Amino acid sequence: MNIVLRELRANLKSLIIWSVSMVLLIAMGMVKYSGIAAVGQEANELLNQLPEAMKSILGMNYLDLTSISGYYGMFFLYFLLLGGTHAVMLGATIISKEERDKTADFLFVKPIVRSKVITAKLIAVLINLAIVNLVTLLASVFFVAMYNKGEPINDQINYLMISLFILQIIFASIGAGISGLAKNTKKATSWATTLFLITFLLSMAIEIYNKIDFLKYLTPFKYFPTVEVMKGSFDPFFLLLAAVIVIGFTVLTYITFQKRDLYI
Amino acid sequence: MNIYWQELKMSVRTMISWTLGMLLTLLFFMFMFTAVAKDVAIINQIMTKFPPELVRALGLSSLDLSTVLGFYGYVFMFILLVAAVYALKSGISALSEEIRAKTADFLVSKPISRTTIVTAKIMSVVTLVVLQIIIYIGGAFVIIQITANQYFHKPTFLLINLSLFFVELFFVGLGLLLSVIINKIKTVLPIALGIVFGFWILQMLNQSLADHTLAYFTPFAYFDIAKIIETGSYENVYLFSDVVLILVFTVLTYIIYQRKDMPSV
Repeated sequence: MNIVLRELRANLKSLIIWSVSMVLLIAMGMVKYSGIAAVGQEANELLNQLPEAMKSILGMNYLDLTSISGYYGMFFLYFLLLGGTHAVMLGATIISKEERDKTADFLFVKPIVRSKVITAKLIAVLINLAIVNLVTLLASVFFVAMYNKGEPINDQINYLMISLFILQIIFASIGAGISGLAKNTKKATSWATTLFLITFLLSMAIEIYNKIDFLKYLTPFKYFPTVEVMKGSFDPFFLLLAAVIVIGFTVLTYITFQKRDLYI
Repeated sequence: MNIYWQELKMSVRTMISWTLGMLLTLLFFMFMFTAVAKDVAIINQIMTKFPPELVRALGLSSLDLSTVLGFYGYVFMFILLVAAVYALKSGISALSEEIRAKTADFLVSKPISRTTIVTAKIMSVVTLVVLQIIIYIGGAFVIIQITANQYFHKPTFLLINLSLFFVELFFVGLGLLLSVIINKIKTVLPIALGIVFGFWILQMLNQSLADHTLAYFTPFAYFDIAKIIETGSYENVYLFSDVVLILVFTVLTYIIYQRKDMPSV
């Protein structure tokens, strides 16, 4: 329990910075929306005539950008990016930072099983992710209501936040797993970030070029497509896949850290 | 001089990996170009009917995505982001890596002035940035020739890519300044990513608002690709402020590093 509290305190500054960034992101997004909303319906028809590839690049494949829900759905990608980066960084550093800060030989000689330490740290990660998610949710609801001229879309925001949370957990577990395999923090963060960026680029590529759709199993960004999620439908197969990934990488984290020689 | 070569040797591998990353990203996106280029006529026709506010709000300005340069300009934004992270990371690590590796007191106690140390390190980072840009431009040229069978205006292409130089130098300077101001930098990558993202978000905001005063706050706005394609040159005001900022950052770095306490534990 101590460890959980201590980790929360240690991460507090970083948590605040990331949360504030999420708030700024949604604020800026809504300001941009006011520009688009002002243009009106005819623009939408024009936009729809663009060829598929072009629309995918702009992220507006199935969404009506002039309506608040369509725009928010498109903008949600940036939340995934920012939230995902935060999650993967958090996961990759939470355990390996002990070795980086040279506190590993202090922590791991305490009369506590290694797995308990890891459990405590992972719980702290979960709490951090939940807080960021909650902040994003509240900020979204607030700013959307401010600029929304139509009906409230709080339900859709809720569903999207759930998908964000699932993605955060997926990436955090991947980060933690990678940090178990990597020898030091620098390597862990680089691999984790690279993997994250690759999955993102892959999801963009699939959007533009449908023929490689079968690759969607490789990129978590495609597990819960925004359009489906906003209707409240989460594909159970992908929920299962997400669970498998999270459990798999978490188990990997435990196994690697249990056996590993710590670098002090 | 030793310092210069040592730094070069140590960092050249990461430079190669990052440059390769940039080129791979370009290759990746240029494959998509063939899909987009098919509908050239349609896109052009539709875009002319758009009201200007919508075009601006979408961040498209006057980028014609059906031409090679227009599409490249769009993709270039991502490449620029990667390059910016590399530059910022290099700038921050140049001076702070010593402190992290506990070799700072060793280095500083040698019979050379701190100015020499800073100069050598800056020179090595700049050398690597220049090398990176040369390799990238060469690679990008090859990739574009292979994937796009169309004519494109080569001087403009060169000009777009050279803006990499000015933006990267900005971030190197910023990184150097940050490394001497902030006392304890534990991991460089998250900071670099965060700052670059921040500037990028500023640029997106800048693009969607009508007045462009925000442009001075974000280096990504200094070299607007659409304008470069249009006019075939940089905007002198921004070029000037970019250079001025780089100089200010560098001078401040020298001054602060002169008096800085080196943590040795």
